[in-house]
Amino acid sequence: MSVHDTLLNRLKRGCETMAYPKGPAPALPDRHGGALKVEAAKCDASCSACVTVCPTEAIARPAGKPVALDLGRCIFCAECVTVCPTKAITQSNDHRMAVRQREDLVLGDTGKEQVRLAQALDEKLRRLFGRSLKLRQVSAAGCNACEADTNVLGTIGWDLGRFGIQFVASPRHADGLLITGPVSKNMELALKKTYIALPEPRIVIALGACAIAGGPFIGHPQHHNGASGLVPVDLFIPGCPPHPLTILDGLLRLLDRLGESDARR
Amino acid sequence: MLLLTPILLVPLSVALLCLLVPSRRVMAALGVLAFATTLGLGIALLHEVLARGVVREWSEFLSADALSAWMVLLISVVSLATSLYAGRYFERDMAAGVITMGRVREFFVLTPLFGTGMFLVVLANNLGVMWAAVEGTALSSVLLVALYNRRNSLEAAWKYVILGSLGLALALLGTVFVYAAACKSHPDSLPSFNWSYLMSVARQLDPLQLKLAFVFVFVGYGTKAGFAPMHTWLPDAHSEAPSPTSAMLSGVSLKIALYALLRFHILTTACLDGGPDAGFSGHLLLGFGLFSMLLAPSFILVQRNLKRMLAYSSLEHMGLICTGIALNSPLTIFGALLHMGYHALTKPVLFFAAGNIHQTFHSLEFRVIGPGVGKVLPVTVVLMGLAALSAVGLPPFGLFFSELTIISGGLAAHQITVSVVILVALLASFCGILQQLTRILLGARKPGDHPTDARRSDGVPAMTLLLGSLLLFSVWLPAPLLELMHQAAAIIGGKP
Amino acid sequence: MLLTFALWAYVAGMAGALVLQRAERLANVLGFGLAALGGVCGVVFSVSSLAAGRAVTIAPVTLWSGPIPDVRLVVEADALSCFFVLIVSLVGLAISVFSLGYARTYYGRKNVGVLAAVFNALLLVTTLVFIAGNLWMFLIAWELMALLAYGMVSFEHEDREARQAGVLYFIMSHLDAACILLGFLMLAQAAGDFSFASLRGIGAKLSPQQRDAAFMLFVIGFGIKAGAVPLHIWLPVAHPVAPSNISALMSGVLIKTGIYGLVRVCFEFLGPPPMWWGASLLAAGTVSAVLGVLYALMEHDLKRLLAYHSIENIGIILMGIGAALMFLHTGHAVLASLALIAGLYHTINHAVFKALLFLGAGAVLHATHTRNMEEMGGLAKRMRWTSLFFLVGAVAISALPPLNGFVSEWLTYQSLLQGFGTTTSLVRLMFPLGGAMLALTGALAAACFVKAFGITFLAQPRSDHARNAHEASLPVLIGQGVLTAACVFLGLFPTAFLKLLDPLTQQLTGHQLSQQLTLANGLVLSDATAQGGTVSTLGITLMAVYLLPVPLALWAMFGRKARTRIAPTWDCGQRGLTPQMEYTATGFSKPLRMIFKALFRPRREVQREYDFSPYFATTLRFESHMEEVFQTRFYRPVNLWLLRLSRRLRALQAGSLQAYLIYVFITLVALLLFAS
Repeated sequence: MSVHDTLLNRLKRGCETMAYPKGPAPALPDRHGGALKVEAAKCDASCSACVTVCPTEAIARPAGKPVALDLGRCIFCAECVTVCPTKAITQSNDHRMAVRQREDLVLGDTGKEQVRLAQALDEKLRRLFGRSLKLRQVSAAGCNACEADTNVLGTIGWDLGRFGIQFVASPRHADGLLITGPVSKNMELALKKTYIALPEPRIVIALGACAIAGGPFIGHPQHHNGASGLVPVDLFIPGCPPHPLTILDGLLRLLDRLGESDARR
Repeated sequence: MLLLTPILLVPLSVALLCLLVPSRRVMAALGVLAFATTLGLGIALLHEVLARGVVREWSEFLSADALSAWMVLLISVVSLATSLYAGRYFERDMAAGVITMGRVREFFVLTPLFGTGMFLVVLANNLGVMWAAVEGTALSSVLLVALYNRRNSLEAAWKYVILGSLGLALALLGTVFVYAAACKSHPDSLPSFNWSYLMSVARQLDPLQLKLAFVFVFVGYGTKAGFAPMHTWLPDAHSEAPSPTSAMLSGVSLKIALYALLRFHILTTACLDGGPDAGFSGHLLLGFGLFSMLLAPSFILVQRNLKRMLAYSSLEHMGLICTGIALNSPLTIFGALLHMGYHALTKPVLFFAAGNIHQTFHSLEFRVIGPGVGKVLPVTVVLMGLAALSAVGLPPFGLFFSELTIISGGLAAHQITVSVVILVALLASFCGILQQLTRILLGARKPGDHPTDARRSDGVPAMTLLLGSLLLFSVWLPAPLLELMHQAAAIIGGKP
Repeated sequence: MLLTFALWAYVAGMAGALVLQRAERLANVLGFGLAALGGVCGVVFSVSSLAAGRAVTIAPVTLWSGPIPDVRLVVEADALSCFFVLIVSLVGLAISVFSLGYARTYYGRKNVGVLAAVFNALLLVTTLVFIAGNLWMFLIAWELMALLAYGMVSFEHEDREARQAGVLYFIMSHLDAACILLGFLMLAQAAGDFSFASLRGIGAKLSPQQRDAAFMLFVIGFGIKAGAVPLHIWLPVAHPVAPSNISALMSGVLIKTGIYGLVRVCFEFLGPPPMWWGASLLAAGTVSAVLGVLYALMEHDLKRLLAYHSIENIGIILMGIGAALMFLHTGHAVLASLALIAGLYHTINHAVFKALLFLGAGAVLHATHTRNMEEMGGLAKRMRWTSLFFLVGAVAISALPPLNGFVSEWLTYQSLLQGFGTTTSLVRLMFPLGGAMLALTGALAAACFVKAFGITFLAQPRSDHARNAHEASLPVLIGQGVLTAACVFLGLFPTAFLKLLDPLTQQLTGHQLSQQLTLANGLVLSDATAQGGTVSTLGITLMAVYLLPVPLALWAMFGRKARTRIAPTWDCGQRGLTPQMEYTATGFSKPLRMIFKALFRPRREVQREYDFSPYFATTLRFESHMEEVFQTRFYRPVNLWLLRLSRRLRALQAGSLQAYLIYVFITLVALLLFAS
């Protein structure tokens, strides 16, 4: 196609970017159940079916304590949902999962059935990054699914650029670090150096189960179980991989760009 | 008071004495003494000639004008230096077992004889005696060339004697033709064979006969003087002879042969002057001089042997002297005479240094000597370097001035081609000598080479004496000497 | 008289250094100290003479009369001589001070006394070349200069490369002396006298063919000495192997003797020039400039790079002089003065900054023990002052304002650009073409010095020697500092300096131009034309200085609050930056090597050894060659032909006695035929 044809094509098709966040969010696909909701009160006293079935040992049920589901380690296989006899764990079909603190991802206790969503950055950082956030991505030995779903945000449907969020090549140009993958020992130095190269003020976003807690690779001697131990993380976005909508929601929430009142702020 | 006779007798008697004297040291000292004496006598002769014009003895059998006096000085200086150098040279050769005492005695007998012969050539008035004296120098030098009795030396001496004899035979023919021409114009009585007499009747001699005679004399004496293409004996003889003899051969004997030729040139010019063939002899000198100058560098450029290279350099310089004389202006002839003098001071130094190198490295091949001679013989290399700079015509040495005088004289005579050819030839030989000498004199010894340690150089007094005089006379010539040379130039130019 | 004192200082330095050969330190201090003293005297003498504006500073004086009639040594100094004496004294002074420290590197290795003595002798004979008043003095000083320079090029003669370089240098020098000799003799023939005083204007007495022939001889002779293409092959061979202080002297001063000779002969002796003289010089200059810088770009030997740059700058000087000659022909004396001033200004500029660069290269060479830029690097932190001085030199040679290279190139541009309107013949196209080529050269030169400075001084050290490099000694730094100060002065105060050139242009073209070139009380340099192009390097500098408070104030107001964190250079997260990641000199110049492929004819060879797969090579060998066009197409074939001819002639001396006898007979028969 020549330039002329491209221009004509574009003119014919008009604007194809989705209306979100000014409009409703697109629906999640059927297989994606959204965030999990854990109502520990519904659990049987001696039942630990979900604990044994979880492939990443994300669910713990210490004796005498209610069940605790760490969404950060969850790979959203929904086995626990299937096997739970009392429907204590359910899928909420909510795409919103990003949090600021690691503890906010542990569900189960009363009052903590669902994630406590991320708060925006403080005033000063919001003024700096609110309309222009440049991110440097570090792919730390993962499977690349998180990178693929992040990449999708750059297409014309999602158009990350309209929020002023952009991926840059050099950490010197970046405001924030987006880490994916469980951070192998080989990538430790690169990650640390990238972080040091970021000028302050800077933020770190851990994207995906691997980056938060090591994902399927947790406990492997060649891995560091995610980025939390190496660099201070400001935003955790769980998922394996997280849906682009989740990622976008997390980023916009961080920057207070969602523009709607949300009960669970 | 007799001047000319002692000049002849002193070296002759020393030669005979050396037959009897047992010690090599005494023989060497006698040689030095002989030539120092002749040098002193030469200086006295200089003053006499300036005062009286011509010095004659034995009823004009011996005659010395300014040109002869100049040659006497040259012969004395070079022979003196050679004698100074020869002492230690043969001491080392004997220590190395290369030569026997008998041969050394031969050298110290033959060299003064050689000197005597050369003195007789320049002092004889009679052209026949002059020829015989040249023959005498040829004989003594042949035996000197063959001194080492090696295969190469014998071959070189053989070629020298054959070609030299051929040349001398032709020269004899030429000399006889001149006498015939003189007889023809004086049918009454046998005319004198003295040069001074022939000069006085030059206008009456038959031009054609004289031209013919000059051709023979030119080829004949030209062979002895080393004109190309008759020079072919020169590289062999000068390189195979012992270094002191090479110095004398290159330094003066070529010039002696040229002197003999010049006497005929002056005679012929005087005879042909004003006629249709005026300048005939000059043309021959010019042509062969330029040819020698052009031929020599091509041999220097691809030369592998040190002394052969120096011999070809002598060829080049002789060509330049001839060209200077052939250009026939007072300035260029004066320049040619100066060139003779400076060359006579320079070339022996180069040969002495080559002798040192030969004795230390036991070879004269550049490839065998290898680089880094400067590390082994530092003093020799410094002196050789200075002499080489002089020989290629660099200031502040005198050869620069004489070469430039001849070149500018060529331009003044509207012979720009001649000047260009001279420049090209000088440049080519410069390239060759520079290249070859840099190859061996500079650098460091290669690991496998031998010897590697620094040694004392011999013959330093002789070399320093010559170089010192060269430097001194490059910037200053004593007035009497200048006057003498101007007179000699006038004689050659045909205006006595 | 100051100049006499300077000359005697050189003689004393020479003698003293030779006498004290064994005492190295004394020989060093005495020899180079006296040379520095002589330099100071020379500078004071020349500046005062030029400032006084006299046409003739020293009337012809006979120093010595030789035994041969007409052979005399006469010295004479006019404005042109004084200008060049200024160059040799200034540069000589700086190099002498430098050598006080540099010669220490030769202690125990080589003879420092000889080095100091020959250095003094070189300064002496070069000064004598400039103040020569007759042909003999000129030629003797010229030949001695070649001889002494040969000695210095062969100083480290243990190295075969140095020996061969010396031989080539000497042969080319002797060739140029022969050409010059012939040319001068042709002139002296017509004048009947060898003194320069009688040679002035002698060209009018020669026939046009003779004048043209003489001009060609002079161009070839002085061109070889100056290093113009295609006579330049000795320059990049000889300058690198000499000791660095000598390289600086050779590049800075000795090649300028060629320029001196050309100016003296073309403007004073040969009379009114036809158009093709100036045009040919302009063309030769343009070619030299472009080719010089192109070859410089391809070099990774620091000193060879600088040597090729000398060729480029000589080209620029020749462009100025050629343009001046063309303007003389068309009768535009003012423009001729402008072009001449441009050429001569560039002469002194080049002397100063090229010497500075070579001195810097010398310091670097001593510290890193290599001339190869690929083994240097990281020296900016280890040799702060040297890198600063080298940077100033690099900026100057790249003709960037406000330094001196910019001023002289600006003047050259101005004279070239105005050349278009001076004549209606087709030749006028050469002017804008020359200007365009000059612009190309300037750009390429800047690229080349980015490479030279960057690869040598910046980034990380590529070898252990570079890593352990330390700053040079104080005299070395002072020597460089003197030249740096000169660069800055000549750049910022051109109007003051131009006054010194007045007596020069008055003598050579009949015009004094400095008044017209100066505007605004000396702050602004003008090009003396109706269009009134102007530039003010001083103004640029002052503006930069005046504007400096603005960012300072901004910083004081806003910047101090910012926290500064010092972090390592971003290296893409690697284990650390290593020298293997740096640009190489060869890599830097590759784009230009590809663009000018037709000239360079690069040949590239990669050899790879591997055990089981070519992707896992055990050894990798890379070779890159460029064809040196002039050597392979011209000089080497001529050389080989000469040697082949000589070898064929050797057959004449075959050793057969019969053949020798036949030669004699043939000669005899031929002569007999000729005689009859």
